[in-house]
Amino acid sequence: MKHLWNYIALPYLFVQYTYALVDITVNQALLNSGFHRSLTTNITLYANLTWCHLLVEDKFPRNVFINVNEVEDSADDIHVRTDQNLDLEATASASNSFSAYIYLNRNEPVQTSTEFSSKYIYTLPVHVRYHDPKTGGGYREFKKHQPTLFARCPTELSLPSSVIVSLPCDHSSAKVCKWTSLPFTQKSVLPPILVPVGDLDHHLPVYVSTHLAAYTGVVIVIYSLFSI
Amino acid sequence: MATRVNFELSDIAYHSSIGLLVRILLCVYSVIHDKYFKVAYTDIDYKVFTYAARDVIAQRSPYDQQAYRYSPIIAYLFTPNVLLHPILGKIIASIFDVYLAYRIHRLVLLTFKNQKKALQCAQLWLYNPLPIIICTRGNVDSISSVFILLALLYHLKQQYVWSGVLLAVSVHLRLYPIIFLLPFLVTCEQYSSADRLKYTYKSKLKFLGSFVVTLAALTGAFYYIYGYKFINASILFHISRQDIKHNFSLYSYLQYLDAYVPETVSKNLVVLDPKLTKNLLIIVPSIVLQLAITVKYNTLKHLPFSLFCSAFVFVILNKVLTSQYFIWFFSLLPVFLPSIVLSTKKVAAIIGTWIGVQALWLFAAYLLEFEGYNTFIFIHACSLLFYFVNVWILVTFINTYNAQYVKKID
Repeated sequence: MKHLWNYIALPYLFVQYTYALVDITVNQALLNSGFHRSLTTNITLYANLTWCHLLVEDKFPRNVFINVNEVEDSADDIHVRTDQNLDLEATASASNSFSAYIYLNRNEPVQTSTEFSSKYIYTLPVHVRYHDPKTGGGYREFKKHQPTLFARCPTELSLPSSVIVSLPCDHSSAKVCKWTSLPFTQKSVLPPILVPVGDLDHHLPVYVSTHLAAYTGVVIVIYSLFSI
Repeated sequence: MATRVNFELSDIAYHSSIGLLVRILLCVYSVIHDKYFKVAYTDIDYKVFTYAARDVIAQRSPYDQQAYRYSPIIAYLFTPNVLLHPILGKIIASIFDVYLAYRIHRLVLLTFKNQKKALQCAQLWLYNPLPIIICTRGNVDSISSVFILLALLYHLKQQYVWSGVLLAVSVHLRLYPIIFLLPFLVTCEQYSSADRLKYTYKSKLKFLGSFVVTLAALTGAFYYIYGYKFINASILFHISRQDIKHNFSLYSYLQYLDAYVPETVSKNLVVLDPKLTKNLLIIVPSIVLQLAITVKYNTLKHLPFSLFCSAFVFVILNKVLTSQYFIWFFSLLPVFLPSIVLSTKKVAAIIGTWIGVQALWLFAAYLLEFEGYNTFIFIHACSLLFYFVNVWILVTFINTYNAQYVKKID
């Protein structure tokens, strides 16, 4: 009878306890300048998420791409997949926005800790795509969206304003699981990203100088070939 | 005589060992560098080769990697990277690079009959920082260069079946040696033949036959295994390649702007079909110079210099130009170098200017790529300057080239 009580009561208590203690902060910073950036994500959890799997869905605009192979090689603590095959060489205007699924702790479940606190820091190499040139040149600007944090636990999570969505269970299989979104606070918002672009006003001078140089070189070489 | 040969062999073996050791040390350094520096030492393509090798081991196609545009043989060669250690691909590239020096040594010995010059030319490759850095970054261009030098060696020995086979292998590995087909074909000849024309005709047929059969066999075999993706990635992509991202090419910024110029503007600039005119304007200078070089240097003893000039012109007028492409002509430079007479001052001026302009270009490109400054127009100016420096160097070589130093090949 005592055992039976455990089976009924424990999941209930677990749900209640989780609800009470959820306090999560997520902060992102984009390091470096130019076309090759590092997106650092810092997640601090004060929540009983023991035995839960954690997933970050990061939506990226078409202005950038990530190379999953590169991430898998460089990061020891995460697994990554994207919702589509990315063309790593396409320009921004010929690309689509995409979602990256980052499996924290290499998709291993969260281990028990007495304070129910855990911290995850990971870095994604993010590459800015070439953008369309414009009249006057200068820079084009874009923004990166805010990430979403999900958990998949052995027992149901009951959290305020959380939603349940179907997302890939892990980084490699086609299997889909139910993930519960976790509410979090974000201390800072990423500033807009600037990318240098070509100047369409340069087209005519570049056109003339390029072909003039090429053909002048041809004449010089032919002259030296046959003049001796 | 035996002692002399042994001494000569041990000399090249000694320098090759040092050359290999230097390369291996740099391969080890590259691992440390990549961990701590913002600008990676390792070539981006090295990772692509490794991922392709991973696919091959998993019984998948190397062409599942979107950026893999090489022969499947390269992916096979890189499998130790995945199975044993990620540095091994660089070691393999380094071994080929050192073997290239050995081939240079044999070629110079054949054409100049001078052991000292042969060793100096091999050293020029073995201790040259550019090929050392390029191969230890994980680039594989020295592999196809080995096959080009082997083809040249057999061609100079008038063994045309073998030169055809080896040139075809190099074309399979890296498409660009196709530009050497015409210089090779034109120079098929016999030195001492009563019926020269007849022999020449037979030689050309032997060379062309073995070239076509080998290339068709390799292409057919890999088409059978990997299908159209192989043809598309390793052949068609290179023919139609257009890279709008900044590189050393003269045409780099123009291609970037051209891709976005409204039709109304481009129509005002050209008389014929805009796309056709754009392509013709870019292709014609290279073709004209290739033909002029082949016509000028149309005998066997000129072949090493002819190949160098062809490669040089092809590279400086290519739509895409990165530092790995320098290997295409650099590997041919030591083979004819004893027939170039230049003062030390002139050599220093050539090397200094060539490196100086590149450094200027790299600085402008660094500011764009890693610091985010808008330096497109400065990069374009540096590319123009680099092109003229290259033209000046080529003209200097042409004006000082003296084939009289080339001995009769036995």
